[in-house]
Amino acid sequence: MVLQVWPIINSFLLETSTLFLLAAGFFLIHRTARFLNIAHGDYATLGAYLVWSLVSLVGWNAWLALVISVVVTGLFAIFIDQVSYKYLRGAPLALLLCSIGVGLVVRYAIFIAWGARFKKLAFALPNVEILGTVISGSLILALVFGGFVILLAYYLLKYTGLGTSIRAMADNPKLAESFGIDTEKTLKFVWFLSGCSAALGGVVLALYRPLTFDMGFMWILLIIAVSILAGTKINFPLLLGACGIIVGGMELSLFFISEAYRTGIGFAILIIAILVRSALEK
Amino acid sequence: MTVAFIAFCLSFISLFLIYVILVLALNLQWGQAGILNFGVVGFVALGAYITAICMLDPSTLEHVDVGFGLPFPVAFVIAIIVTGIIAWLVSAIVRLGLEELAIISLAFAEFLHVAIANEEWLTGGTVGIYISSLLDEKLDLLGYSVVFTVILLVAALLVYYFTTKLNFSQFGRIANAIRQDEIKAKSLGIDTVSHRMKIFVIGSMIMAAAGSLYVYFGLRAVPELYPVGLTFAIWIALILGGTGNNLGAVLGMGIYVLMDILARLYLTIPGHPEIAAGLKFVIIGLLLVILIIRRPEGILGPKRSRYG
Repeated sequence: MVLQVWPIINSFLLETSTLFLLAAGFFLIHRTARFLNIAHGDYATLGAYLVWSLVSLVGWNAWLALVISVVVTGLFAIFIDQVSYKYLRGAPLALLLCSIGVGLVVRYAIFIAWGARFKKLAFALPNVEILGTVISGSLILALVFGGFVILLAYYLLKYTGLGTSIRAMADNPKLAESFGIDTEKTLKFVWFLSGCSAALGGVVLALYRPLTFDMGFMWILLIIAVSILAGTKINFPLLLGACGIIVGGMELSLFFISEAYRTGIGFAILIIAILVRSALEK
Repeated sequence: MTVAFIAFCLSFISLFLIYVILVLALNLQWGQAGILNFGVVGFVALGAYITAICMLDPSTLEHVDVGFGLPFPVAFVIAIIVTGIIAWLVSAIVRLGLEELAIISLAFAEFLHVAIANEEWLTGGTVGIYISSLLDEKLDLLGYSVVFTVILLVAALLVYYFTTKLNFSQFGRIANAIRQDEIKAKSLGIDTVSHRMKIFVIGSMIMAAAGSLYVYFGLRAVPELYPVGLTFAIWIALILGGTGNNLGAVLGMGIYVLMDILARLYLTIPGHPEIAAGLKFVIIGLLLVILIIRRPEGILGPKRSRYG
């Protein structure tokens, strides 16, 4: 019995933590800068490719490569914000259009730099055996990263001044500014955190899926669905719950519909998410 | 100037005219009412496939089970009406925000893409549907191209006239008012949501009509004719030319198509075809970002009635 159920639980846990890592940064931006950053999935792809290059081409230690790539992706997110999004503050529709352009640039720059061929992220992770079931190294890493992000978010939001500023901006940006919060400085931190968590998500995704230039972009609809479902407050446990609901829904749907319609199920859940949210707001 | 060359040029003009119809329809939605529709290609594909299925005689194709063998005019009308109903359902689900509608339309197009590729009994899967038109048998290549170019030109002019007329009518003025200040429009007693839904449906029906004509003129419906990138191409053409200005929209489309041809001719790197392919999208993306930041109103800028 355990053997039959375990693969399903395994992929549920793995995909939920991946989706959570991918969506965490998007959610932060969605709530503070207040727009849907379509390019977010491509930040994740960039992070994964950086790790791959540092490990496979330069030959660095995997953990060092991971840390450097995560930080570089975070800085990259700040850079993009400073050269493009900064000029469009407070115009969510223009920002949405702009992020589509940014996404195209990043995605196809990755395509040019690393080519169309599949890559495999080589992370030597030991599998652990507990009570006769083998737990893959990728799952452990995904859970550790997910746990790290959720704890860090909890600490940052609850106990630091930065977290207070972020929460104030999420509630009411104008009021936050009039109370003397430096919103531009806060946004820089938020973009950094967003880029970092995207890179973590990209690395985890590349551990069990082939690394391609549109890997992150493929997840963007699910990321949006999760972020919309998680509501208007910055609440990471709620975001994790939303990830669980959506991945769970997709896993369950595999029993009834063909695998090809996974995105279709994601779409259906997105509609439900929007309906639920509008019902809750009323 | 051989006949084949002239026919090639005419088929190229026909394709351009179809894009013009699409950019005009998008201008109706985004330029007038401020609706973000990222599912342009979805509505085009919907119109195209409904037309193809209605016109197909199922005995002629082995891999498709459904087909009604209807004449084109009937198929055309059915395609537009069915797409209108689906567009209404899509917008009715999200009566609320513009952002939600943008995402839902994007998701809708993605879903349709997957469904078309997988439901072989209905759409022919990746092989697609091939139809034969009655015109095809009576005319030679040149006559065929001329007839279709004229049909498309008339269609494009009709759409141009209709959308311009709409922009300067009371209906269009209300749409402009909603786009500029939704709360103010609401306070004046306008049902902003239902008005926006109407425009979304009308625009989507025009897109379906373009898709339907595309099938009739290309005689086939295959998934690769409706790539997701087409939506962004139409968007960039519109932003380039001038949001809210039909003439600007057509101009933007012209510039975009010209750029595309130039890229195909000159943007080649020997030995690295993928670099050239990627570079095109990088340039498109950069252009989109720069335009939105530097000149969001486009080359010609919006043209409004004096009340808009």
